[in-house]
Amino acid sequence: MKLYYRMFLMHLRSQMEYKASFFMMSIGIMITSLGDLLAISFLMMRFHTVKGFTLPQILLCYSVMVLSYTFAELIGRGFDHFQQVLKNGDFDRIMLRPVRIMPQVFLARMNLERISKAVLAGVVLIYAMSRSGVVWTMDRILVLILMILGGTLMFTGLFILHAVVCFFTLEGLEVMNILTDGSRSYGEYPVSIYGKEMLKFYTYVIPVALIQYYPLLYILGRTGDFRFGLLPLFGALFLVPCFFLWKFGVRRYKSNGS
Amino acid sequence: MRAALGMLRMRFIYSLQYRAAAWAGVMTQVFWGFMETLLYKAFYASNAAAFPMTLPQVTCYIWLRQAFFAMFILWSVDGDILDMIINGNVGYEIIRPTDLYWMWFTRNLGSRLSKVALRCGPVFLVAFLLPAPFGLSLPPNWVTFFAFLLSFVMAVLLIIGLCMWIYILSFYTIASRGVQSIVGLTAEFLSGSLLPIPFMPEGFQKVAYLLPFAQTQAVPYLMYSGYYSGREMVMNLGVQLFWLIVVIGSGHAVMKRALLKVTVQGG
Amino acid sequence: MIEVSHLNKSFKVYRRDAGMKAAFKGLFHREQTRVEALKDLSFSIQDGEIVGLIGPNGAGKSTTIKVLSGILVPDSGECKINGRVPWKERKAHVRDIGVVFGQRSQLWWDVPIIDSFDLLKEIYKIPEERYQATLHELTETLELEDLLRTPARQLSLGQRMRCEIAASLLHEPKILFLDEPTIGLDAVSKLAVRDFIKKLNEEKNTTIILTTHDTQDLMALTKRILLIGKGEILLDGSLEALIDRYPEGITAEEMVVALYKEYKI
Repeated sequence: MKLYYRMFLMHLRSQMEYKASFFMMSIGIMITSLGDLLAISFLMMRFHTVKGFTLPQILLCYSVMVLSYTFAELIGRGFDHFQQVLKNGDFDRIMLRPVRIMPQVFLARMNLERISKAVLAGVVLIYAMSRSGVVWTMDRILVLILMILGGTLMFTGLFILHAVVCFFTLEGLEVMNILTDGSRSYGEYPVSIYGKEMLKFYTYVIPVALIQYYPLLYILGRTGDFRFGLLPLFGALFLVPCFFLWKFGVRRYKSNGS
Repeated sequence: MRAALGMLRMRFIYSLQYRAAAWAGVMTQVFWGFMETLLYKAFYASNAAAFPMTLPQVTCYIWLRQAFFAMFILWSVDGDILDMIINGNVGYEIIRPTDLYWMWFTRNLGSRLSKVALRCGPVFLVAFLLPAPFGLSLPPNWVTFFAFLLSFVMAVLLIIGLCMWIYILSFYTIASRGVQSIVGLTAEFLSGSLLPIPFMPEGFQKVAYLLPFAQTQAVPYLMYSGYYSGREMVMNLGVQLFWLIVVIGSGHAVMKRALLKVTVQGG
Repeated sequence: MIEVSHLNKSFKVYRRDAGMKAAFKGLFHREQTRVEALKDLSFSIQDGEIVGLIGPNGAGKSTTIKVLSGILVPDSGECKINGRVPWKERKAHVRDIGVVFGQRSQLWWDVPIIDSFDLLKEIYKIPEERYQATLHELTETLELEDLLRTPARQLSLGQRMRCEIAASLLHEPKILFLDEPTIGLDAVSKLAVRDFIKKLNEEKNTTIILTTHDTQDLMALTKRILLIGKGEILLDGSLEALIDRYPEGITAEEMVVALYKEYKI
């Protein structure tokens, strides 16, 4: 554990070497998520509600998704950009070290500028919490935390999945964006608004709905069933199959090379 | 021109080689477009009266944007050229007996066309095959279609004209990646690619239409579905032409001066 | 002690004819062929040997190194290094070896070299005293004193290579793999690197396996040559005996060319 902490510190020190560009990049990245925020706000200013959700309620969903995506990006960036790790031979280097492979990949890349996105999402979350008309009891706050936690783990799983695909092909990775960036982007609205079929897809295939739509229903008091609030934990279980696929991918790399 | 065509061919073969990439690109664009039409359908169901355009017009807008996605990314510049400008090797390029502005212009056009050529076909095909409220429909009449074509051609030339300004500005200053993403995203939002411009608030719309970015995407897409007609159509084409002349004219002139500076300094 | 017997390894590759038509066809169908990267490879290397692995590009040199270092699993065949099968006991095995890739860095790019070293100490779990002693020794012999506080990206290629070598020796490996260690270096740095490798082998009895295209490296360092071509070992013998086969006064470069010609690789 101490070793991983040291590896993390290393990245921190690397980033501090470029203070000026760190600041500009932070702003740049913040603006990226500002675009979506602006689009959501403009649409909601015009329509007021969509499928019964108001602007603050949608923003609750938005901020949960952006926060968990960003946290996953912070810890799992090495998976998200795994094609580069493979292409430039960093993965061979990782295999040459007497340390477990997965944590090394987690720490292979790190972009701390991304925290700026989390800061923005945090501000939006506080605004949304105060305006959503929800009475913030302990159980609801707990569910909100579970949503962010479950989301972080689910997105980490998606990033790992992305990396697994890299073991098989370095072409056509664009399609993986549908799963990673796409899940985040579509998930900025409660996924129920895309219709019943899509809700099923995002419940049983990629558990986006488990970390936002169902627990949101509990927070907003549309259902009294606390089990809905616990669903993010099941969403986090998505990480388990991804982990085994990763093992499979590493074995394949060992027999095929890059 | 022959060189540009040859390069286009090379690029095309090059991108064909990556077949998984081509299929993946098409699938990604289609899925993304499909999800977005579902989103607008939900808004339409919530409050049809607040819709600033018809639902089929919105889906047309989305599918055109998906099909031509790679054409209108402002920052899709040629890295070699940027490097050349930054490290001063551009001095050697000046020796050639061609107008550098137009050479780089065609090069950029070629690379954008080759990126889109492979992908737009299948995206169109899928979009046309999708049932009525989700799919792409034909333009209402021939006049609209030709107006769209004209507007589209101007939009392509305009985005490259804007892109040329990125080269030109690199002669004077190197934009950090932070600045790049700020400018890129502002331009993206104002071009109406994240949110169709008619959905923006009144005041914002006015500003967006006055700037050249909306002319690169929103205007041709709106033109296609018959959102503009009669005087409005002509006026919008006029504004596009105006920006086209201003952006390319000024770019050409300023680049000449920038190149002079390079030669004087000796590259 | 390295013992390799009957190693085989093949990879899949895709090919396509030139031209637009073939490119279009490639969208739907691709031809697959298997390339034999290693064919029935057998050799053994004693502790303390310096072996030069030579052969043209794509002959199978780096595949061999990857198998020996535990990155790749062969299709068939056996390999034992210090009693371990590299790909089966990766963590234990890599603690025993050091690898330097001439064209890739293992140093963290943006931080001072000493920070990279400190982290490697943690990664290899080197006891503090041993680490200090080794570091001191490496700093002396490789003249790193002035470089340790500089970030890797600001070093010249020669300076960086010295640091790379030090980095791969901090955990005092018994075997060192050097993949083109002198590529792109100036004459002074090349000599420094060669001298060091030689000294390392003499003083610590470290086994060294070297791939290089630089014939001067071979002449200066190796006693034994392994010639690999098209995945096979074509020649395994002492460098001196090899030189004797050719007329007097032949340069090393000419000898290698003649060798490649002889074996049609």
